[in-house]
Amino acid sequence: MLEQLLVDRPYLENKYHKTTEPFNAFARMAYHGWEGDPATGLDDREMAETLKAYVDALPDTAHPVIKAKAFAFVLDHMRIGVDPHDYFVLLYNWNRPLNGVTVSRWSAQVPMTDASKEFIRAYSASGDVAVWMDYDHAVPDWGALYRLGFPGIRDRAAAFRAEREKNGPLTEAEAAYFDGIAVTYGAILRLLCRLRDYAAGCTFEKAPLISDCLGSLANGAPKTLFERLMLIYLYFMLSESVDSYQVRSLGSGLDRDLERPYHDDLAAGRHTAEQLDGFIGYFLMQFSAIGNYWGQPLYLGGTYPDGKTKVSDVTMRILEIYDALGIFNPKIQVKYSRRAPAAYLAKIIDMIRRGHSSFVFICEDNVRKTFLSRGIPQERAWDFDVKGCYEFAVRAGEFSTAPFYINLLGSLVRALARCNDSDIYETVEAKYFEELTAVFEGGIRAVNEMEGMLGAVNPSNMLSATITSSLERARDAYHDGAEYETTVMIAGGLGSAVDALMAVKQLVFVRHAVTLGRLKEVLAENWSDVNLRAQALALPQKFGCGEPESDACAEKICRFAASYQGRPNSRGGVWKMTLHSARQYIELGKKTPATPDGRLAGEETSKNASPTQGMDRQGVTALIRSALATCPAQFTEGHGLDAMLHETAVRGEDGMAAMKALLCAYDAGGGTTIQFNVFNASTLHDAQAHPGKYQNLQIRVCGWNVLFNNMCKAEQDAFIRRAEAIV
Amino acid sequence: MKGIVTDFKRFAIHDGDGIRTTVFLKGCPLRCVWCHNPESIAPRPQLAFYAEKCVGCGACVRACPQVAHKLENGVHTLDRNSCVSCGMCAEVCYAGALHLYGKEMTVEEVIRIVAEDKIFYTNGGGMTLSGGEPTRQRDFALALLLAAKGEGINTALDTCGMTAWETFAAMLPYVDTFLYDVKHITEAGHLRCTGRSNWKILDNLRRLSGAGARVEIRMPLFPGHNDDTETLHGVGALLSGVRITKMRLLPYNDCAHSKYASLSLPDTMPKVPLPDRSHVESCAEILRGYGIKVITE
Repeated sequence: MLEQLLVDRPYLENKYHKTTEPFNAFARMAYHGWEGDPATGLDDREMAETLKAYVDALPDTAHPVIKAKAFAFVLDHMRIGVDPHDYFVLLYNWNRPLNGVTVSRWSAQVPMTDASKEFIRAYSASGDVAVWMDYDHAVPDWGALYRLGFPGIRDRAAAFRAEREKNGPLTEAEAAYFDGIAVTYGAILRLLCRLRDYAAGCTFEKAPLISDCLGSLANGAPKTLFERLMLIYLYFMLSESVDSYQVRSLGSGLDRDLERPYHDDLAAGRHTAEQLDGFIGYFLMQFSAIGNYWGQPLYLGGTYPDGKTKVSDVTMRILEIYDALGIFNPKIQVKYSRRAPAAYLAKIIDMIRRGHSSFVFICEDNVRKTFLSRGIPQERAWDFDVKGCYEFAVRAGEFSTAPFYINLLGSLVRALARCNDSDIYETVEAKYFEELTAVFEGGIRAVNEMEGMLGAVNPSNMLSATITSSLERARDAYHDGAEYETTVMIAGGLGSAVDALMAVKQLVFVRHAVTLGRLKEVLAENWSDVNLRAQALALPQKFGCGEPESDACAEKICRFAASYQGRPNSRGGVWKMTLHSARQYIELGKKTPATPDGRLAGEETSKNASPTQGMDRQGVTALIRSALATCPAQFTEGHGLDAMLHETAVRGEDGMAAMKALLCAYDAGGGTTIQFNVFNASTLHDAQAHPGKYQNLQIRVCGWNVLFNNMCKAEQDAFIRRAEAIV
Repeated sequence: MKGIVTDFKRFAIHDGDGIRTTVFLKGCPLRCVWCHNPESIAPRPQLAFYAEKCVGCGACVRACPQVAHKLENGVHTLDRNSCVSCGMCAEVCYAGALHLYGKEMTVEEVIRIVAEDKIFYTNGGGMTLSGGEPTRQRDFALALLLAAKGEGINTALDTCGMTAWETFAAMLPYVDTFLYDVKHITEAGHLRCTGRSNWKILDNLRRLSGAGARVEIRMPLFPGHNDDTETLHGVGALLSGVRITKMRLLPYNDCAHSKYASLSLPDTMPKVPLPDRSHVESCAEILRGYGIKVITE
């Protein structure tokens, strides 16, 4: 069936947007590829207009109910389709139609103090922080969804409601919570029946199988591999595109989730191995075709508490199919430990060195320690979910938001403004930490105010229904219904901050190349002294070079930042932290003036837990030593390290052994997440000059992959600078 | 004890097993026409000047106690007769135009640097001594090997073989792997390529093999000099008679011209077409015909 997939592939690639037309991956939901059947539902304009009229006419009732009714309206009027080239259905109105009539309206009602409003305004303008309400880091309880199916999820919620009602009447909020779930899942079941009937009316070869699958899902739990894949796909599409909650992992270990139905199907003779491979291939292609800029994550591998590996023949099939398709979306996180099977590791490393850079290694033993440090029980720590880019969460029990991005470099700009020629270096550093304190304290205060109404602004009806603790408490899973409600601060610019502090120390106080006052003047003139800038850039005290003084500085900043973990948030949980910058290393960098590390005004800062681009001049072992100096496992949400290797360094048996040894050393040293890019800078230069020759050149920019051609010039330049520094 | 170290290379993955740190020691008895490391031939430190990197800032002029640097009309000149290779100019050259090849270091200083990457020395990785020819600094090299062993670090010696047998004999207990160069099979050919006879090199190879040393052969493949069928068959016949783990072919590349210029040395690297992949593989096949495991990556 993979052969059939290769035939269908050109059609699938046009399912969500037309590949012949310009495409902005940030706004992927604004596009359409296949039009679906216009007779089955509304187009986007009609949907928006009629939905607004419908919602405006609703009585002013509780938000979960309003949102659920709006959700049901969209699903009942959704334009649908099935296609001879695909096993998965088309849901046409996928542009988050509810946002305009729910989240956007309700977020404006969030009360905030003037001080917090002013903090966000001033510190955002200066490039110190970025703050917004976040709903995009959730993973449902996939186990419950597989076990119960959509009808079972609805029925279980009803049972919890009935049980609660035995103790007396529900409060208004509790009733709204259960009403919201009932309306939401009722709508999903109606949509399933509509899709089933539509497929049954089609005459192409795939249609009966699709119709049977949808019928089965409308009536109960998924029983076959195809049904399980269709459930994941439908949950993903409806949550992301209608209910406005990103789904940040496809399954809880897709290989483990598919292992049993894969073998059951084979044992029962329902499908051949080739057909099952095909279903997986069509499933993976959906996410490649959607083209989410951030990448759609799934994870593989891992270890059971008894030491047995979760890697199976299905793991290897998924990798083989992914390899054969040559796609980079979904992005794949692979759990790694010393116990990982050699063939699994060899397959992944070989794919990485052939250009499949959409893999992240998750060192599960060290990540487990981050859970234990939070008091999470051992058994839960063994079975954590990997989600998003480099993040991890208690499976089916933890929901984190990521509303607060911090530029660690920005505080030095503020500190220098308060320093003068009479100061010693220790004063500069102390003022830096004072400014950083203001950023953390102000940001935490503002976000805690902002998140006080998180569940009311965007009730998570779909998600909450999958979560047992949420049902037990009759509270929204994204507010205070989960066992662990965490809020994440995302810090970037560590490498730049270290380099800048070290530059001040070396240039002003050790080498006496310039006075502090003169340095401030030069910076105000965007490095008007080119020789001084050359000195700053050439200093050996750079993060990522394994240099003791700068590593110690990085460790100090990290220890300071990590100390804010565990602070209470306003959702009944705590704050976590990750060294991961997403695209904010560019966005906040644009607003940040010239800094002592040699960085010009507006240039990007360093990203993730990685060095300033091009400054890791001592090779990958020094880079890893520097990263380990920051104690990655102290960051309870993640620590993203990007390692770049020259293609000649990973060839042959020696290259394979070297990559394994790097990974092993990173893991043994306490690392948590690492990803590799294998490149030759000359290739990137050529790709920039001749994009037409490199249309499939993919790179991992931060926590996700993009085609090199789709990056803006500034991003390309930053990446090339890093590649040029490989030694 | 002190020695002259040309450079370090971390994450060296072709200088023995696993991930290694290669320590390049200065001084070499051979004069290979294709030499990629001319900075490591002379035993003493040498100042290199990369003119294309010079920004004309004049920092070197101010730093040099010998007045060896001049800057006139923005053009830099270096008087090598005055230069004593103290390296003070290189320390202030932020543009990277000046670089001192060769630094006097103690055994402890070298081992401290090597040990920094100890966590990566799994799967047989460790320290490789290279050059130049590391046995030229016999006592220093021996002390480094001893110290590495004391730290539990695997050792490899990358050698051209041109040294007294007694030197190898002294090092044998402390070297886990010899990376041994075979550059030509005939004495005349070797003389032509390196300026020295190969009788001692081949004799030492047989002795090392006889002594039970773990030996990996490295052969630079140089078009028109040692890549003919007759030479390769000769090398194959030689190696089939000694005990080796494997052989690595190192195809010639000509990317070291700038080093010669930076050191004001005559550039001996011939401008010949580089061996292509298929030619390297055909050479490897001849050698594999003698039962040798040949690596061409």
